[in-house]
Amino acid sequence: MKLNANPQGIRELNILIKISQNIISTLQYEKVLQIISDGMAELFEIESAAIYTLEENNELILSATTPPLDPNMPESLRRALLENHPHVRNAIESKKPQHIPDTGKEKLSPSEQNIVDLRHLQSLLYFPFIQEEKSIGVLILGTCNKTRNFNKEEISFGQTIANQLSVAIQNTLLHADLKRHKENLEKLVHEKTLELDKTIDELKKTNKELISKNDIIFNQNAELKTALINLRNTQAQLFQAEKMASLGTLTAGVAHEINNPLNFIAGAYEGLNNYLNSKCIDDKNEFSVFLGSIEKGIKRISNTVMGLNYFSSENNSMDEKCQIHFVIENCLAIINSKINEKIEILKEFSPDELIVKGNISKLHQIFLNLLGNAIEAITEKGKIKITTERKNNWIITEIIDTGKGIPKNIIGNITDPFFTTKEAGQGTGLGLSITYNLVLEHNGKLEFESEITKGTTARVLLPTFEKHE
Amino acid sequence: MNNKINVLYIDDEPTNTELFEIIFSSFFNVVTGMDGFNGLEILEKNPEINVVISDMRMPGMNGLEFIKRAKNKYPDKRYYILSGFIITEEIRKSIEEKIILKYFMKPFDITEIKETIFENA
Repeated sequence: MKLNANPQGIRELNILIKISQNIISTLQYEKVLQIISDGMAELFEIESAAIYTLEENNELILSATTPPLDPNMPESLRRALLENHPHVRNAIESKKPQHIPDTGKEKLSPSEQNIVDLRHLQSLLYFPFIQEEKSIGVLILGTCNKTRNFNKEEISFGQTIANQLSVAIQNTLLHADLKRHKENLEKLVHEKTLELDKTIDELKKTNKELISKNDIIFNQNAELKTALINLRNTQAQLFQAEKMASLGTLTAGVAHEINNPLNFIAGAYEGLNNYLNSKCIDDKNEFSVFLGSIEKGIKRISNTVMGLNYFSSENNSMDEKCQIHFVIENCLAIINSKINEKIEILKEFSPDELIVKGNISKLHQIFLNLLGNAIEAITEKGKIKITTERKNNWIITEIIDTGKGIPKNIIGNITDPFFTTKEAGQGTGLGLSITYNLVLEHNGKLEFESEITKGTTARVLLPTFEKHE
Repeated sequence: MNNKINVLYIDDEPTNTELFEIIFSSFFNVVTGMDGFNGLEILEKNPEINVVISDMRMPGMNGLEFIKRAKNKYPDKRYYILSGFIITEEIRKSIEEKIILKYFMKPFDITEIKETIFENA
C-alpha cells in the first residue's frame, strides 16, 4: 500500500466507498462488523483480520473474522477474557493502535500465542474502535507466514478509518437499541392492548350484569307500583265495605223503627177511611184531602226508607234482577234534599223496562255517587239530564250535568283511589274509585267526557240481564 | 163460626195487632198473639186456623223461629212474614225452601195481603 501513488489511492478510495456502501445497505450489527473486517483486510492487502468487541466485565467476543468464522462455532469458543490478551488490552486502554512487527520476536500471552500459532500470524496491527472517548472493540489485522513492515502513515491511516467505522458500528448499535426498544414497545403495546381487551371484556360483562340488574330493579319497581295500586284499591274497597256495612246496620235499624209506627199510621188510615166511607158525611171532599195527604205521606216515607234500605242492603249476591229506572228513581229520592231549586232534573228514560243482573245496593251506590258528583259540579244554576237506553247487549245510562267540568290533565286520574281536588278533610278521594270498582264488578264500563265550564257526562254501561242467562 | 179464612197474626206491638184485627176482620176471622210462644199456644187451641202471619223481630224467638216450630207441628197451614225490615238472606232462603209463602213489608199494603191470602186459599 503506497499512499502517494495515484492508482493506489483510487483503489483505496474504491475500497472505502465499497465499505461505506455495504455498511449503508445493512443495519445488522454482525454483518457490519463482517464488512469492516473484510474491507480492512482488503484495504491493507492482508489475509487475516478479526474484530473483538468489548462486553461488560472485560470480556471479549470475537464478532467477525476474515476469512469468516464457521457460523456453527459455539459462542463459548468466541469468548475471551481481556486480561488474557494484553495487546488487545493495550489498544483498548490506550485508545491507540498497537503494532507487532514480528510475532516470533514479541512476548505473547499463552492465549495470544495459541491464536498466532493457529493462523501462523507474523505481523499484527491492533486498531481500537473509539466512540465518545471509550473503546468499544478492536480490529486486528495480521499477516500469515511472512512479516510485513507497517509504516507510521499506514498505521495512522488505519486508525482514522477505524475511527470512522466506529461511528458506523455505534450507529448500528443505536439502531439495534432502537429496534429493541421498538420491539419492546410493540410488545408492551400488544400486552397492554391484550390487558385493555380483557378489561373491556370484563367491563362489558359488568355492564351486561348491570343492565340485567337494572332490568330486575325496573321490574321490581313496576311490581311495587302495581302492588301499591292494588293496596290502595283494596284499602278503598275495604273503606267502602266498612262504611256500607255500618250504614246498612244503621239504615236497617232506623227503617224498622220508622216502618212500625208507619204501619200504625197506615192501619189507622185504613180504619179511618173505612169508617168515614160507611158514614153519611156532607163534606166528603175535605176528608178525602186529609186522608189523601196521609196516604201520600205514608207512601213517600215508605219509599224513602225502602230506597235507603236498597242502598245499604248487606246482601252481596250479584245476580239480583235490578230495574235501572227503579234504582235511579230511588237514588233521586234519597238525594232529593241536595237538589235545590237551582238544579233542574231532566229524565229521558227508555220506554222499555231495562233490567241489569247485579247487586241492587251496589247499583244504588254507583248512581247515587254519580248524581252526587253532578249536583256538586253545579255551583250556580244548571241542569242534570239522565238518559237511559239499550244498545245491543248494553244498558247505557248517561248523567249529563252543566257544571264546571273536569280539567283535561286530571280526567285520567279521577277514578284513582284517594285522588281528590278537594281540600284536606273535604273529601276522601274514594267516591269515583269505588264507583269504578262497583261498575267493574258488574262487568260494566264507566266513561267520562268533560269540558271546562260546559259540564260533564258520566256514562255507565252495564250488560243486559239476558246476556248473563 | 162462619166460612171465612182463619188468620193468626203475631206481633209484639199491640197497636199493630189491634189495627190488623180491625182492618182485616171484615175479610177474615182474625186471632192475634203477642209473641211466638203465645202463637204456639193459640195454634194448639185453635186447629181451625189456616193462615199464620208473623212479625220478624220479637222477644224470645223471632218470627222465622216461631214459624219453623209451628210448621213442624202443623205443616199444612200457610205461613207469612210481615216485617219492618227489608228482606234478609235468611228470609229469602225460607221462601225458597217454602217455609213461608211470601214476605210482606210494613207499612202493610192491605190489598196485597188480602189478595195473597185469597189467592193461596
